[in-house]
Amino acid sequence: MAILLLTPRIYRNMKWSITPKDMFDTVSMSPITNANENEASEIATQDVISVSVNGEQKSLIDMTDNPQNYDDSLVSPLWRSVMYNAPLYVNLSRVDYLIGAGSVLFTFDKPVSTNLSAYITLEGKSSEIPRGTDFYNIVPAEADLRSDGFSLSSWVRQNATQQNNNSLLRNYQTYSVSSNPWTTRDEVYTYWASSPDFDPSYLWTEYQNYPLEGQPFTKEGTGSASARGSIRLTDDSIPLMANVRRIDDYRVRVNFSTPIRFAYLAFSSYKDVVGKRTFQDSWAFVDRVSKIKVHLLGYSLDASGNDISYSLNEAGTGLIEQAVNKRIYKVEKNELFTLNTYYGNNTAQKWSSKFALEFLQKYQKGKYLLNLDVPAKWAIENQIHCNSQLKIKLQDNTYIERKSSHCVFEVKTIEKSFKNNEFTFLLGLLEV
Amino acid sequence: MRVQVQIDYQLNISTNASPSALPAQCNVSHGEFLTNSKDFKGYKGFHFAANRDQKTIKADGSYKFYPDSGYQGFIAKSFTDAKGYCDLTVRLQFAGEAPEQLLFQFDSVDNTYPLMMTLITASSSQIKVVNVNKSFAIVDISGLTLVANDSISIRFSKWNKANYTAKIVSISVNYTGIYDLQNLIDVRCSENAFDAQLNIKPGIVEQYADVSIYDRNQLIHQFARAELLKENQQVTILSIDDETNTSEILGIYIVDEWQVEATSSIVKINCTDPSSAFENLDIPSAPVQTRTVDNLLSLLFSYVQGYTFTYIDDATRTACENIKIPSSWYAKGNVLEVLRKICEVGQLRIYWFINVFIVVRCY
Repeated sequence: MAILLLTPRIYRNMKWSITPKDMFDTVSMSPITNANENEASEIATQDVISVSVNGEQKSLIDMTDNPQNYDDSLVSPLWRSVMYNAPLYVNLSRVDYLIGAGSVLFTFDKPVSTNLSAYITLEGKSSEIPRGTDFYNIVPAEADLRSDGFSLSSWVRQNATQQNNNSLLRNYQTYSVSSNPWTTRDEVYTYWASSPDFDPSYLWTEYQNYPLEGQPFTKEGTGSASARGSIRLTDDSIPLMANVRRIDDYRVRVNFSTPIRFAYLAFSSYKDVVGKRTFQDSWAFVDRVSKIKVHLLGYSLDASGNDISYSLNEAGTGLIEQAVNKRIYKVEKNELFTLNTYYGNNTAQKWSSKFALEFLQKYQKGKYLLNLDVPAKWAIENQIHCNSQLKIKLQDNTYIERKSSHCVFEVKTIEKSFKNNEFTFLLGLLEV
Repeated sequence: MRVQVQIDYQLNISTNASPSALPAQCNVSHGEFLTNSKDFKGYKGFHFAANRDQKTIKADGSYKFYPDSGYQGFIAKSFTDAKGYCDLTVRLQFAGEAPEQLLFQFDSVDNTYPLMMTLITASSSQIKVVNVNKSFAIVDISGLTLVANDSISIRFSKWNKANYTAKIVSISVNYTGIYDLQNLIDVRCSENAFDAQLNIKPGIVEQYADVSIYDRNQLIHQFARAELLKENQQVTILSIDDETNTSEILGIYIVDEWQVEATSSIVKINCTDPSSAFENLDIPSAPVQTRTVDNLLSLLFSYVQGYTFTYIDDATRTACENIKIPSSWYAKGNVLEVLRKICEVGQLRIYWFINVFIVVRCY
């Protein structure tokens, strides 16, 4: 930017602050911090507001933890029909489920200051459905399959390697629902899960010392000659859903629906290479979710404490984090100015300290101020606007100087005045 | 070099009417358009009235002929007679809905105007008679039953001067008052990036303009009586260099207060910048989500229709693009409050100049 020279022939009414103004040696600020908040709300499966079976709404499902109350609901007669008529070399699997839906209202003591994320964790247990129950007797009792060499003696069964009767076999992952960004007050964010996320995995790696190669269990009807695999969902998606609705700064409602009962049933038949031995197996589990925990994670602003002050070190090249002098420039507190505000791509470079260093280096010795009038014609012809830079020549042909170098001033205020046919610009200048 | 002040007045228009749609078509009977097709002694443009007997132009040398682009208006084909009668009729065809008011301007230099106007609607033949006693008239037509695309015939029959040329300078819903040396008493306006004491203080620097006008033809007083002076009217202040025939905008402001006293012809206008309206503009809460100060300014101005911001220099832009605020709350409140907070974070000042908000650093 070119620096214009302003001479006494041009300006009038100059007022110059002989002593520099705005000498600061300390910057004081009170940035806000983010306080972590993690709230959780528990709900038992008995408290869910509605349930559905495989997506179909059912209003009267007894949710007490008695397997007979839901197993028959889940393991449909269709399964049995399919398995009765299955040929050899087939793997069949089914997963049926009950969906429970509920709603949780979170109330915060302080307004949540950031985006929210919600996730659901489930507690319950898995158990094997006893083979003696009516709905599960289908495989070993069925004679049709023996025609190809099947015998009860050759029927073996292998425990699923991940079976654990005390906890859920399924790996219920954490699903977060992020409200990023909130743009309106009453906004809903929903997470819909799809089947690949929900593959329950029961690996059947071998049958009675016979290592089994080949394809795993896959979806219904796509079995292979190898009886190895995992049970997978038969539906393309299960509507696990959570939505987060912010009611106001203090209240958030999370509506969710999630599977609360799972029934897995898998069947496989396999004839070995020699063709004399047929392996068949079936297995069934039920997951019973007894407790749903909805987590809501957010941050609130914490304006208490954390006041910081910076002063220049003796060399004037760095900062010391303490106010050592009294000429203080105070940065007002507001919630947009956080302690973690940084500069550039380096999160370690705190904006507070970078700004303080630049500011103190510029203002430690203060700045000269100057006010004067110039003819409007001169100002317009020379395109004088805010931040235009000027040097000021005095009556005695000297310049306003600082340590023998000419001071450069920047225009910071302009009042354009037209009165009695006199048209002038009144300039307010600050030393650069 | 001199100063000129332009004030954009806008008459009341119905919500769906567009000023530009008026008049979509003007058919003149017993009159003709004033255009650059008419010459007078080799000059084109507006003709001052010459009476039948004198055949001369009444001019004092201070007025100019209008440019070759012509002059929009209507002139009667014949002079008014000895009693001031002259049959000039204009038909206004509205495109869409009609406005609520019309501003008629006649020859204020020659002080020639009709004493009576008769408005007749085409659709229902409703008649409205308006008496005129000045070289302009604001006519309220909201009481007329007008349908979409209706038209009005306006007959200007009796005029205040005999043996004169009857002219209608304009019919409009908008009017820009131009005040020059003859009218301006005092003009002050600001272009301030800091406050008057040059304090290092982040925030918005509100601009001002104070204008005193001698309301020579009482038009502003007439507007005041018709309750047409509004606080959001735009005031443009220009410098004009007659030697180089150039002009430059010194500032564009919004009227904050009109001071129009019935007993004085001096009108005082206090103006400010558009930021004063930001206080009434609420924004929804939103998370900052590791936004830069530049992002925040852009987000905030996205809520403010019609106004943008720019940086005074590249260094300020770079600083604003690099200050990153992680996961803070975008506080609820009005635009002005949040703008102040953004300024505090970035140690910025923001000021209005002509048509944009300019961001400048304090340090």
